[in-house]
Amino acid sequence: MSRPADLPDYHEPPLNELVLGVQFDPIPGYSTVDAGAIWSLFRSEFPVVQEQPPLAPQFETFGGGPSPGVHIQFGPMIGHMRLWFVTEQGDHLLQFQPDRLLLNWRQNGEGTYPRYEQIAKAFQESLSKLCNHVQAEMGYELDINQIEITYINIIPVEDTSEQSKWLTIFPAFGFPIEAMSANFSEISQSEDGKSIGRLHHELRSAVSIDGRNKALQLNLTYRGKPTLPGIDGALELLGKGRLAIVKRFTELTTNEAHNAWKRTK
Amino acid sequence: MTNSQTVVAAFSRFNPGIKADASNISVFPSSRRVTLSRHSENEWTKSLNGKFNELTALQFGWDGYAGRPVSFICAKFAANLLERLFDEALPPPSLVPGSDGTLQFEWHINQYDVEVDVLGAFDVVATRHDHETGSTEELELDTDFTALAGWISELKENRSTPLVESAA
Repeated sequence: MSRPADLPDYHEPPLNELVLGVQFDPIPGYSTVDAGAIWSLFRSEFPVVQEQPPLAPQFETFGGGPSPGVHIQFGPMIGHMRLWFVTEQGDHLLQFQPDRLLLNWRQNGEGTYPRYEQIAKAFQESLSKLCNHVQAEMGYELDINQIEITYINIIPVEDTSEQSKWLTIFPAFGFPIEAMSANFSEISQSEDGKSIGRLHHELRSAVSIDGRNKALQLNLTYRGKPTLPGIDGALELLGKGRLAIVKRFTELTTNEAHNAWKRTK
Repeated sequence: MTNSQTVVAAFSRFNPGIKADASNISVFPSSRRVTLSRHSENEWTKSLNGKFNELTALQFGWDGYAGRPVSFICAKFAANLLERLFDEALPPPSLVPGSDGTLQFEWHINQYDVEVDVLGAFDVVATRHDHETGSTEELELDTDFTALAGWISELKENRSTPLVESAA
């Protein structure tokens, strides 16, 4: 897996967290008893375990349209807890629940961003382990129905009103901004014009717990259903999502920002 | 250039391969469209929330045989799809559980029967029967429901026969 030669690159990107994930049909017959065996697959590298509430399933579909006022809700969702398998350093996190597997790299102040190719390779290995285990022990082949890749960027600012210094999509407002929040999405299409994914943009201002440090948080999330089967299909679409995110990130941010992040390509 | 075209053009400037979704921008309705009556977003959600709760909580054997409750995945996918298909000119659809945990939603309006079988996530079969022409069409869908949205829109159209709800 090599980096595309023409993809923008930064020596010091503001990337704070990268998440790669797949969603699959719930493993039939999965019970809490199976969690221990799942953890044993990854324990040597991820020795710390935490429990979290499960993530609700998400589906990127096309046609019709977003109807902001219509939210059909029912439940509660009955499901197993989400398990966090964490490295000793806390910089890598594997998340498992019976219909999801995600790998997070987190900037925790130590070490440098290991780059997408290395994280994708690690995710592929983890996903292969899980698939092989579920096939061998539970007689079931994982049916991946969606991929997800998220880049979480934290851009430190002196003041929230600096958004035009960092972002091309917002002009200088000419008056002080206390807080900001914006969400929008765009459909990604294949070369033959078929809708294959959706890129979600989320921008908000952020303040540290002690109130002293301000930042702009820019999250870019790409989701879609792989067109090819299995792990290879998932990785193929994850790669496309990564390209879409990096290109769009470069377009959304200013030349001044690129200089600050030491853009190399 | 219309407002929606301006927005799409603005995003297309960045990368022609990535198309902005302008579907949430209002457009003038088709002149063939006939509004039967307005159905609020609340009417849809209030009706469907309760029905989804009921169907996902069905007891095993609800049909007198081996009927299972509607699976959460089927219900969630159907709910997400209905959110995208919402049209205030239409009443909320009827929801019908399958004995195997699947879910069907349907309209019987304007001499059309539209039945949508949600067999699982990204696994949908939609059927439309036209009582006027006697024709039946079927769609097998996974991610793109544009054609189904078209069928839904046609439920509102002015047809040669008076607009009445057909008996299911």
